Amino acid sequence: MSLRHNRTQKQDFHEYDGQMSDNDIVRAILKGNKDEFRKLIEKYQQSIFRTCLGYVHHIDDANDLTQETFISAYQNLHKFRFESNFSTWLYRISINLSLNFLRRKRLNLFDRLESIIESSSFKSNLEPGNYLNPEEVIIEKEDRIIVWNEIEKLSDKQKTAFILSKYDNKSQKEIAEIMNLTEGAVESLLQRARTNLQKRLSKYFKKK
Amino acid sequence: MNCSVCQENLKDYLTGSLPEDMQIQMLDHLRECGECHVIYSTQLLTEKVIATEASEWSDSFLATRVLAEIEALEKRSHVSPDFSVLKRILQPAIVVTSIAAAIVVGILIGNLYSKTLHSNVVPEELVLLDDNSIESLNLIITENN
Repeated sequence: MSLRHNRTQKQDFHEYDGQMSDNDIVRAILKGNKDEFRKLIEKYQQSIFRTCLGYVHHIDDANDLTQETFISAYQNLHKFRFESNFSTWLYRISINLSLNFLRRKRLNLFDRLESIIESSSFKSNLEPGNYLNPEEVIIEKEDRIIVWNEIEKLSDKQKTAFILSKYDNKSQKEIAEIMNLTEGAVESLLQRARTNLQKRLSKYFKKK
Repeated sequence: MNCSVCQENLKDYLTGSLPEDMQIQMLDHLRECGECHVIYSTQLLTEKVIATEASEWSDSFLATRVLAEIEALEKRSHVSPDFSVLKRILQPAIVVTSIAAAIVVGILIGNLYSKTLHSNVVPEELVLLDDNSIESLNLIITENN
């Protein structure tokens, strides 16, 4: 089984006018042609959705955050200075909204209790022997919750770098631009994220 | 194969991009080495969970919903008058007026208090008393005796 994401679009979308760059579209919108905004939404909605999903692991919440990202981008379009790519700016909005969402969720007592209850009900499905043949591995719900919880425990920076890399297949250069860091710093964040996840997830496995 | 080589090649092993003989060596090592097996299993689990999640699709009507929401927000901002300018002028004016009013009230209260304390009006009980006609205590004591 291929572990690469299936990137083919299954829904139809309007043909993106390849002659207009993102900046051209933004300028057109700022001049009053707000229908052009649809082109930007259709171009970036799936990427932004995947990024948000990496934070919240809930499809409805991810859709809401994606919607909020584009609305916020539209309302603040006059503040876009054309110094970075529009997509970089858009990702920063979605990352901030997602992190704020997670902070609010942590403050909510019921959400905290729910995640504690879910964590404590982990069954030991994670037998290492089952994983020798990847094609035969079926991911149980408890396995997903384990991984999601451990991703959430990463620091905000490690989590952001990890999600952009794994959920949206961003290169280190693209991640560095979005997070306003050097590529070396991004590499370090990714390495630490992988090491931390490795350490924490391995305790769920029985050793041979 | 040793653990170091195995762990270096785990990523390629997961994606099946190693040459066949290397794949077999990796598999043999993973069957024998518990530590490498745990590392491999956690990586595989993480990759699978993420791949499953990342294959989800966003709402196909999202663009329509966003544009509808933007239009609704714009309509709301046009309907309500822009009080921001008035607010910017009125707020400091209200603050200054409140402080001035507090000062005036304070002065008035202060004035009332001091009038009461230093009043020249003599209470009724004392009106009849005249210093000159008050008999000395000595005289009273002498008469009673």
